[in-house]
Amino acid sequence: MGRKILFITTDQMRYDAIGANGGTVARTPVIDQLAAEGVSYDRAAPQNVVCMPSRATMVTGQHVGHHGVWMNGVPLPEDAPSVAAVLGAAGYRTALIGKAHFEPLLDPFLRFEENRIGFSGQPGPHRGFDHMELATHGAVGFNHYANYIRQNHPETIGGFFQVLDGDLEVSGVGGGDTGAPQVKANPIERDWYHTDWVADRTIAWLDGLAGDDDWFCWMSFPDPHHPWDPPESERSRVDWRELDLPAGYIEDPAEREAVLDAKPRHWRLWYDGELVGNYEAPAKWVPATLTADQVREVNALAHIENELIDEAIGRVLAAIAAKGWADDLDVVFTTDHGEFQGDFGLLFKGPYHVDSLMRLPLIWRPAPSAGGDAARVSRPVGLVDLAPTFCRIAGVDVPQWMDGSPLPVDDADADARGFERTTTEWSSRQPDGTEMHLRSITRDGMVCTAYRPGTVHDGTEGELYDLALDPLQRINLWDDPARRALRDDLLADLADHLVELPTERRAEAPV
Amino acid sequence: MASFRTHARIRRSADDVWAVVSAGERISEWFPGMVSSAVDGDVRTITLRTGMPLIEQIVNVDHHLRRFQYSVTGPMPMRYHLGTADVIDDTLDPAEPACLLVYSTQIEPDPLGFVFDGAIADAVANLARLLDDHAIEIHPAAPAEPAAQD
Repeated sequence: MGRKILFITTDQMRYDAIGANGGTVARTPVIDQLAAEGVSYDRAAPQNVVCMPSRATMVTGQHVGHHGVWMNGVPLPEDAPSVAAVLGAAGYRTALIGKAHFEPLLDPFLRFEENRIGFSGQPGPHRGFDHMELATHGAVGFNHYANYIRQNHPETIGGFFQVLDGDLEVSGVGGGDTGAPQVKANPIERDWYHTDWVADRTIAWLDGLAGDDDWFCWMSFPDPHHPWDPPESERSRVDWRELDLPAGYIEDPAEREAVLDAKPRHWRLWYDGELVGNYEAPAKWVPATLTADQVREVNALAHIENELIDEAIGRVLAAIAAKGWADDLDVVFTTDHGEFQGDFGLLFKGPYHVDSLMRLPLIWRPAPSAGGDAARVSRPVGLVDLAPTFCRIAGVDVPQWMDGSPLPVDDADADARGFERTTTEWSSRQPDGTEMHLRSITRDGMVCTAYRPGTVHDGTEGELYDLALDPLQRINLWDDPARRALRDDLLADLADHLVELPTERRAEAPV
Repeated sequence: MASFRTHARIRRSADDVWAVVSAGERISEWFPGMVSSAVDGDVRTITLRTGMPLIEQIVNVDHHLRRFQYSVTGPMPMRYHLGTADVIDDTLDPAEPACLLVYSTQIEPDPLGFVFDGAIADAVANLARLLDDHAIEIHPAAPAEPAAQD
């Protein structure tokens, strides 16, 4: 009998969302306890800052250039390699419960297996997972959670925020107390909300296993990704009126706009509503209209959603303990990418390689039976390192096709095994022809982003930030002569380590 | 408005390919995600695998140009749609007939463009495979009208 693996992901969660990373609002005692007992990574980066490419990296252990999911809407091929298949071949029972999103969600022709599984209600198998029960951000689409709501609580469907508007664009409609975009008071009972549903279905799957089964379960919560519509009954947990504004929010508009103006031009263009470079941000919402109170309300709701996730994890861990598996259980907790949540006067995500989106919570609590000390790792690691870590835990050789390496257990281990840098990339091509291409390296306490030519940038723009001296990334050093040599060195290192995409496959949906 | 185009070279005569493409009621034999299709006058009604209908207006069937054009009218939230399938003779050696199937789409709102473009790319590749493999029946299309003489 080997080690069991519970892989927990959230969607669009910031590094500072949890208490273990300095968060002071959301109460996350379960996650904090995992951090206290395990290894916390203070520089964990995604290889792309939107869902589909990032999740493709998690399941394959590959960079974008190898798995080919270069933007949302590009499906991961059905025969793409999968860590679940590797573990399954080693005798593990495997499941993914919650949000997958390796394939497009908007799929009226049911061309993609995830949606066919959801439409039929069958639980897979797919991508090496024996069992899949899928969910997304509400009771919409072809997935098991939407089926559950339609069949059992159809009256609640209208309580969720309607994510797409009549033009099938991401909606910028405001709600709540402040009129903040994608906020809605949702009267759904807590037990029926997708966070608790994911935990319930995970527990149900675990209950069906034999005591001596080895298993790998990816429990994937759709929150705290927008829309921000947690159960109304929970809103009293955090009163937005009492929240301090986040450190990344610049209250003075003139100061805020000066910071934006020192960055490549698409930052200010988006802020002013003149350019929306990606589908994930509401097409008709202008960030410059965002008020301080709206920032407070969005943050409050995200904190509430994170508390619900923490409590749901606690229930699953208790169920695992009741099955007698606690001593052999490895838990890995992370997210796919971050969220602005008010930083720079912005919400959501997009082609912006700063800590808001690129610094992720990542915790590995090894099985107590395996021993090991608690640690914090400051060296850069990536989500590309997750799949190899699962292989290492399971005692399986890391396949050659995986690009990453098993996560280090402390900084000394990281130094010994060459964890010096991570790379993150963005490419997007919108139906109106807008193209953007960012390539970033995080190394030596710096993050450096080069902009390749597109329709907005001419290939000369970039960003360079000193993460220690400028933790909020307000001072762009790209054109600082004193940093030119460092910038050139980082760019050369980026060129040496970036996995180039041979050809761009067709985007087959906006998301 | 989003504009997309995809094509395939098919190792069959233009007449054979046109025979399938111009038979609007046969689209569910080669387009992904469709379980049935029927034509009544110039209205084509398709039932998708999800059970959702797709209502289309057939706006042009030009046997001379070998051009089929249609517009999705509902119930998807379409502001504008025009789909055009052109079959163009591309025979280089009379012993090996070949043609191009060129499928273009103009669509608004833009987000639907990605969805239709991906599905049409699948459909064109699928039809090319079925024809190349002689795995789809050919029923002769209506005869082409003689070209107008200047």
